[in-house]
Amino acid sequence: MVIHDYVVSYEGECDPYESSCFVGCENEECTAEYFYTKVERHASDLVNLCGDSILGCEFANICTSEELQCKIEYCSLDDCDEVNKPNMENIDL
Amino acid sequence: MNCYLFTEPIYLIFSPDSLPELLYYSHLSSALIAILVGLFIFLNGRSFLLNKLLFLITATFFLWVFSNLITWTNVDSSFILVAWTSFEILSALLSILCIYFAYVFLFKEDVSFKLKIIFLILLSPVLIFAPTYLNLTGFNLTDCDAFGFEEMPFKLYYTFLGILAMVWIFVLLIKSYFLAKPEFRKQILLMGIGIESFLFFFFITIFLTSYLTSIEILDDSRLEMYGLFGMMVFVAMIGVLMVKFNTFNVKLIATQVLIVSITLSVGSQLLFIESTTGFLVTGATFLFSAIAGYLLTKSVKKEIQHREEIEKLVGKLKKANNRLRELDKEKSEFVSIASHQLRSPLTAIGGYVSLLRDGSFGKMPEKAFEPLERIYTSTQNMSLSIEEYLNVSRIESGNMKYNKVDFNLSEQAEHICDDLRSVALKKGLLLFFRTNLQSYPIVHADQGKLVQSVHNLVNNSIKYTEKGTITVYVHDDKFNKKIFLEVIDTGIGMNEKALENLFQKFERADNAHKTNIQGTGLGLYMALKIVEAMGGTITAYSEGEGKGSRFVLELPLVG
Repeated sequence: MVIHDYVVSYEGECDPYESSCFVGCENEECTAEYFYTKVERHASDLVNLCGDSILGCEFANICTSEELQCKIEYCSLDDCDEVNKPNMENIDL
Repeated sequence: MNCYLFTEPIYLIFSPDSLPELLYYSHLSSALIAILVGLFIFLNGRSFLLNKLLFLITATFFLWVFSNLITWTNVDSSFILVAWTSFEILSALLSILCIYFAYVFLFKEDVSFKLKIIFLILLSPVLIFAPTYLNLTGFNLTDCDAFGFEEMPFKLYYTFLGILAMVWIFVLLIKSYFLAKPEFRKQILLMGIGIESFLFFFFITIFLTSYLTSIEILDDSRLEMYGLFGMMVFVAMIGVLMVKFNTFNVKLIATQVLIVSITLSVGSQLLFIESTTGFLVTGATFLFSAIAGYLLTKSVKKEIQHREEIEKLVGKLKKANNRLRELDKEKSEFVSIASHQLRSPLTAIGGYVSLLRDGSFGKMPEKAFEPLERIYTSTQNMSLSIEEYLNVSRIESGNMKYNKVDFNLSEQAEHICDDLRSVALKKGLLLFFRTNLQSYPIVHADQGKLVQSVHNLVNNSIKYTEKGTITVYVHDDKFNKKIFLEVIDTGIGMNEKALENLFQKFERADNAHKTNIQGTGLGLYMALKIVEAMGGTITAYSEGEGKGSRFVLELPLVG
């Protein structure tokens, strides 16, 4: 396998006010939550955009037009169960 | 590309993050011990294929452990994917190397070219497909884990190779065990336990871990850490084979160095452990290794010293025994040659003395008759002695020829008595012949030699009896088809010690010298050898010195 010629998947940043996000727990007791999208793209493309780390890289959360294989998955009513759906009422605005 | 939830490790594998406590203990101790053992055995016998293969197994295992640790601790996705691919190839290689090792261990030779091709064919799917998308397709930066395209079938193949190795080696072990010599069986058993334990723990736990995590019964792969302890069992068995059976031709000094290294490698774990439990467990293992290593070295040293001493003694004994055989052979040849050389002039002396006595060279003065008679008698005696030496020489070299025929032993014994009666009477002795026969006394033997033997027995009795009688008694046991010829005298007798050595070469009873009777000490030895060659035996009895003797000659009856 050629270095970087593989697919990477990761959790992208997600704004629950703008998109339907997946919800994850920050700890085992799930006292704190975070919101994310599921991103899947070529490692080589991501390296070109962000270098070795996606932390603090805004391109990590969007697909560029040059990328042939880039997918950002949001939580939808069809494939996102109630637990993972963002509950806007409980979010402290 | 780095996964972002974990911290980058130091020196590729030492992660500052909190990892399962057993991770470094199971990985580092098993890998270090394995590579140390493999390396020591290899360095102490580089020319041996078995040593090379063991080193390859341990080196492959070491690399596997290293690759596996990278997948546990590293954050670089490319690096982890390469490591993941490597340890799949290394797993397959381990199973094939184990089969190869078992073959060389059991049959003490390299495998055939055909089998090597089979090994390569079995390995090829892993070598070809492991670095492709059929194995791994991507990497999850969130979990820091690789994922694959239908991952399980590929995993199934190298697990299949592991199980194949287990079964293959098991069949080889069973076959070889029953065909092996008893001393090699123990080695087969030890090696079998070691290698099968390693393969079982290693492949089964790795497969179970993959399977159970894929169906989400387990959260992570920490179960596979326990599989690595199988290598410890293998190494322990290799250690026993090495020190007890010298299987890998490693000397004691190397064993001592190895034990020290193993103990130190276990002890070095203490530097990496932070938790109290881990420290206590490792500390206890370190202490145990140190004590067990010391005791093992001590006992092995003693055993090796004993073995070497015994081997030296055996070597010396073999040399001495060979030298004795050579000397005995040389002596027999010398006696034979010397006897032949002596016999010819003696015949001439005897012949000319006989002619002189008979007056063939003119009338001899009266006073010359007695010296001539003495010369003649001495020549005859000397001829008889030489004949005895020659016969002994023939018996010992296996060149004595026997011409066996059926004849009446009782009748021959009676003739001997008739011949020797006058000799006995000259000494004032009575010679009787008695029989008590229920069957026809026919024996199958060399008549001339057997008659000579009986003659010697009766003549001996006459020689060693000062007064009284000599009785020759022939009787039989018709049920067991045996005939017995007893020569009973009222002579000087013998003590127990003399009886024990009576039939040895050149042996004469202590009190025989008191009778002033000349003899070579070969008569009874030869008589026994001749009778034994006819399927019989001679036994001597005496109740003590001065109480007479009884010689019993026993032979099988014909019919």
